Amino acid sequence: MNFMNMVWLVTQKEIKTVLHNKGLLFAGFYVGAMFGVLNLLLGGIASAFNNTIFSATLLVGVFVGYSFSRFVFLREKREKIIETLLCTPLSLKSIWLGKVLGATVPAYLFSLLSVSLVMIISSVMMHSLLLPSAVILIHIAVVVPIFTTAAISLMGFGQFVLGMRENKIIGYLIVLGLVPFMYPSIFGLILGNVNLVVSWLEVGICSIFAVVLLALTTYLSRYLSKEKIVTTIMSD
Amino acid sequence: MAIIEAQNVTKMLNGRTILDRVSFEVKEGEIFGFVGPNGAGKTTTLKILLGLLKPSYGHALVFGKLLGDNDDLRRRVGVLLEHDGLYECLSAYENLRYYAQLYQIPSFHERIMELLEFVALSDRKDDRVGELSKGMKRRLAIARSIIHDPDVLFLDEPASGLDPEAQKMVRDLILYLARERGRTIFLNSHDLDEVQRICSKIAILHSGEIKAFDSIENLRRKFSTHAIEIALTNDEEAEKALDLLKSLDYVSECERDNMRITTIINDVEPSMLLNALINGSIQVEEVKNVTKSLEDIYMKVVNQSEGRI
Repeated sequence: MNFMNMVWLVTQKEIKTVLHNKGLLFAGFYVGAMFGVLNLLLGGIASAFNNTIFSATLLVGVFVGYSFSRFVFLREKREKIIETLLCTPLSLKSIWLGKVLGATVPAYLFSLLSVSLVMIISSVMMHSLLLPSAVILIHIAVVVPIFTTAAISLMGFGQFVLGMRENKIIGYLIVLGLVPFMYPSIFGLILGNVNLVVSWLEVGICSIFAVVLLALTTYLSRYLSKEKIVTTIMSD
Repeated sequence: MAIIEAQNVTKMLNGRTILDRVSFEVKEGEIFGFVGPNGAGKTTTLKILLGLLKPSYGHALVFGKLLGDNDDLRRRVGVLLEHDGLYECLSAYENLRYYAQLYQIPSFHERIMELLEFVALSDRKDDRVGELSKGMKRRLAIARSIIHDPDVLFLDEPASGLDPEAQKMVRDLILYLARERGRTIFLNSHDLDEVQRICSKIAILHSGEIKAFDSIENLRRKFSTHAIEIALTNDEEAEKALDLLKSLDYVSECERDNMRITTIINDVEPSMLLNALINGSIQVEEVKNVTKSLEDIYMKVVNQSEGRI
């Protein structure tokens, strides 16, 4: 069986276990709905529609991705199932990549759910169908999955190589560190324009950041080792 | 041919020596028992053999190769660690199916059903693992570990949490795999009775060092001190015999249990002891050699290494 088939096997299993977990699904739905609707209400429907989708998709992807990654990486490590998995013919890289994709796919679906909610609520309130702009559509289709994958990869890497206590801190730090790239107003503050409306420039900066983050995590994944994973279980 | 081989395996973790020049080999078809107290380094040794940890010095090889670096070689190895390695949110069947797919088993449905039948869980196949009892999970984990019919099986306390019937099932399975199928078994266990019943060779690990490594019969010979049990006709005779035995310089230990005395003699034949009893006009009902159990050998090794004897 080739590498990608092995990765796909792990991904399928992870998606299945995530979808079997009602608590996790509820949390995902709650975060998706909350970020979508809250952003919309705070920003004002007509003016903030595209900005809301821009930030809601990223926030949901990263926050839901954080809980899913804890389930997919950390829980399996804490319960020591990972040791058994490492003794199968799966390579460490295929396990890691399979898990990243297994957490990313459902997290991305929740991002799309938040987009749908924002669109439905906005359209109902404005009595007309509101659709995202072209730049936001590109953002949803390309940038959000890359950004979510990069964030989950980084969190998954940390969860694999760090001890249980360090993980609690590092997870929050990663999520908080990504927030500036997800909120147009904070983004605007950095760029010197608080009333920023998301354009190709912001989406471009965000996508470059996501690609760099993904490249960094791919590079870091070379330092993953079975020993590191196993010995950090012991340090709990 | 040595299937499993540890050559001077040393492991240091955080400046502490966990294993110190551990060496042994396990040949094809052998059931190898790895025993030792908690914290002796048994699980660390197992993890090094499985490639989960790297030795600081030395080599740990399976089929002459490092298991950790060889994805394909791991197809020939079955593993049951201390933890079951099962997903609680998936059903018993789904768990086995996942592992069957990882090991690329063709027509895995039949194999899964066969194993579920074998571990008496076919009626619980659709139940989530989280709903099963501890013993059931362990049985399912045993099925998981042999789903791909491995050539070598590494078992860490396989019978823990099992009822006596299931323990027997595990013992019978191990014996069947080794004797009928020629499989090689590496068994980490605290259960000396289990090890004694099924293992062809054992190693006793203490404080990270191998203190004994041989077949149980050879170890019995090596650690044998003549233990003799004497049955007396009544309490009075037992008292007299005890006084007499204590006065003999070649008797090193003497323990009375009602009308029976167990004694250990050094460097003399048992007949000499019998003569001493007859000459002392003691009425003896029975005298017999006591075979040393693995527990006796184990305790002796542990006590010796702790400097107690």
